[in-house]
Amino acid sequence: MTGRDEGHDEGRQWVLELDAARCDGHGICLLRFPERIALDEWGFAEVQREPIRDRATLRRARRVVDACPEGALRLVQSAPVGTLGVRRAT
Amino acid sequence: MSATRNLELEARHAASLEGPMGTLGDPGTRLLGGPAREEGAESRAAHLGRLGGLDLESATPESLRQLVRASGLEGRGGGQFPLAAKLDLAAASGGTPLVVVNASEGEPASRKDRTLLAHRPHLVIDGAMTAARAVGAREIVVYLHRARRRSTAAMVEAIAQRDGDAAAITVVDAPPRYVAGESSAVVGYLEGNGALPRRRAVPVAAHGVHGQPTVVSNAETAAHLGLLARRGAAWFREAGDAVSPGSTLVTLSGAVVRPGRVVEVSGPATIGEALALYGGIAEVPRAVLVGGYEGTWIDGSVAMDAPLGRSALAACGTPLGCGLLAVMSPTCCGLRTTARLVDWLAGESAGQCGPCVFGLPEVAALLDDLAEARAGRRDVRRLRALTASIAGRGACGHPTGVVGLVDSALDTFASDLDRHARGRECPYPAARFELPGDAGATT
Repeated sequence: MTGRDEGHDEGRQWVLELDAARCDGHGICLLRFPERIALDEWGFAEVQREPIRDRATLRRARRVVDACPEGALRLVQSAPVGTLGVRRAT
Repeated sequence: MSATRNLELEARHAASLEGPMGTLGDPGTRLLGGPAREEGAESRAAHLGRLGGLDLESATPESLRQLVRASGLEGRGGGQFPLAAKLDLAAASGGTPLVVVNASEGEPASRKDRTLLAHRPHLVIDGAMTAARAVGAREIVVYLHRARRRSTAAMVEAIAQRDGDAAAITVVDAPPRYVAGESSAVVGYLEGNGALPRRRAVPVAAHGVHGQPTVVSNAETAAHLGLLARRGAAWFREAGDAVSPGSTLVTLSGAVVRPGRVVEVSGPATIGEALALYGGIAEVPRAVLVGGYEGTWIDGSVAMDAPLGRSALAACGTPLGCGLLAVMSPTCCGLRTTARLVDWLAGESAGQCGPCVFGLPEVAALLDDLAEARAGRRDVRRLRALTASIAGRGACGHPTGVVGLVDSALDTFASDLDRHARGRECPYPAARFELPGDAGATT
């Protein structure tokens, strides 16, 4: 997602996504972004997957992605499979 | 289901060459048509003599992808994902694509994929070659369990009989783990890492092994493609229904006459008819487990009349998944059976995600306490809360699948649950367990 502005692209929305395999339950995300993140009874993050609609929330989401010590969070654009137009980076 | 009805069904089936169901060698079947089980693997010559050659070089990749799109073929590994979407994504992604035939069949009770490898290996290879041509791949991997000697030997022998094929085939031995067949785990393993499921931002069909487009498809899906490429989309759609076209393989397991029997279903039929005709089931079973060990329990009397079709079962929230129908007899405790399944499944976690690592053992322990009448109503509530908090979590479908099985058991076996939670004696033999429990079973 590098090189992209934090704003909305045409017809697409950003979603905060968790890689549960990386989450080690540090809990920093809960402190930084409690409106979208909860910790379960074992201390692991649970993320609401509703698209982020406003710029202020998107900025906070960007910061929580950077704050995770395990790199378990990321912002992705929601688009149905097959419409991503994905090209390999190399 | 009376014995008379059973005979009627058998007579009806014998009278029709295009019966709604059949097993290896039966006329009217598609994937299982051809030589009978006793004849072992179909040779290259017999395969070509029966089905004719497959000319892929004169077909363009675009026309092959269009054919798959028109057929509506859905993946038969469990996810029912449209094959055309994978092929289109791989073809659009550039690079050096790879085709993987996933024959790891980690579902302990399923037998369909190894049956295809052992008896119709060339049909599976034809499908893989078709997929390779459709995306421009020059390499194919067949991912299987070497410990299943018969199916492995048949596949290896079949590969040796192929010459003039446009793609090279490598056989890779899969680790004997339940989650090792998940497509991202397959990709991880082929990259030289562990067979661990990973959350991927981009589908493996676009960005798989070493960043190259990777089409991972189930062995049965490949076999369907091998016939589809010869006979066309209109023919393919004559079986199944508009939503999930084509025939489908089903493994009958549990309390049936021959557990592990593989049946091909192409026309309208009920689960009861399949169990009567091929499972020797004469009375209504206690319950049927549909779709795999992470599938759903259906009450026996409901199951008998349920339509045996992919789209119909998916619409009922009880998808056919890997095609497993496992029967539990009327004198078996559903709670104890599920406790044993969940204990095994919890141990099959890849150990990566918190909800799976911490949640599943607790679910298993609570179920075991209930099964052994050491737990009461409050524990049932705790179990319900746990399954709700685990569903949808984790990097792969494993934890969600396990708690789905548990929830269906709590609903289907409400009477067992009530009895156990009240500390009453269970009338069924404690040790009775009718399902295969070993993922590495050899065939």
